[in-house]
Amino acid sequence: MAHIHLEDGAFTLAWVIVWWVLALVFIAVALWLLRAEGQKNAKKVTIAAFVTAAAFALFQVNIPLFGGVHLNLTPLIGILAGPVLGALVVLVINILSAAIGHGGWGLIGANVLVNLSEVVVAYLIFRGTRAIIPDLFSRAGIATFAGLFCGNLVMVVVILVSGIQGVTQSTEQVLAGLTLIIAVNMGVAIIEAAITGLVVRYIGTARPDLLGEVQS
Amino acid sequence: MTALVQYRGILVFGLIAGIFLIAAFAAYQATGPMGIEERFNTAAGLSSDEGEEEAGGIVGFFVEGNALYYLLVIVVLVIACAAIYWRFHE
Repeated sequence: MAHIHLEDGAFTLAWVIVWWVLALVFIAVALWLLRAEGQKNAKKVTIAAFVTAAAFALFQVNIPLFGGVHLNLTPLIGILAGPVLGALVVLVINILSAAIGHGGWGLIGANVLVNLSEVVVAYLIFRGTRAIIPDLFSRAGIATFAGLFCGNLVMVVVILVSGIQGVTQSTEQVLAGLTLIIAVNMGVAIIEAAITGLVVRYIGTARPDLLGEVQS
Repeated sequence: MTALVQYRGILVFGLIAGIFLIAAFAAYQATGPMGIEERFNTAAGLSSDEGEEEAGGIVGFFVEGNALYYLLVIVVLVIACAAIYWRFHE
């Protein structure tokens, strides 16, 4: 998974504001779309609540793999809740995470953008490959890989563009270090892809209507 | 549906997983065992406060942030989920 694990003060105030404003723009668009759709999202709201609880619970747990990693289930959020509700879900999760001391308040905007990219890409890949990959497990797994990889790229871009205050390393050195983080994160993505695939396959068997899958 | 079409999804999944697994082990060999914060701080060139977050873990699993607040938020989320399910259940 991708999450900017830097403390408040790592980015300058200007960049904190930039990422917050960008994130709030996406949240505003999501709220506008939800309002336009009205009561059609009633079932999705319940799903969004459950994935919020599950993702928050898992997101905070450090797993002793490759020295320490954690999962965040953002691709599952995208697949089950969709990108519109998913935008609100990742905002809530990041705020709650900061509230318990996992991540800085100033980095919520940047982390929402990172997680939102995971949600949107996983959703698009999952929906877009239905015709060529009918198997739910592998389709959800591949969508998870794509989403998490994209999230890692966004994370690197945000860090490199913002710069980190008080460090003497060059951009190339930071990029080299972040590349290793991406590699480790994508190793952990295998677990997340397997979990997402199994959950989606189970839901597809028990309640295919929740996935919007039309039996062909 | 031919066998290749039927299994191409899982084949692609396995191929991607294999590539990422090799990359992850190579990166792990390069960095050594590091926690999330430490790995980030090393990449960014910041000094890290090692060991602080490791306390209270169970066989390497531990909650990042305040464990009590974590449990409180979980309780609130469970109640909220129950309320939303009750409200929107058809």
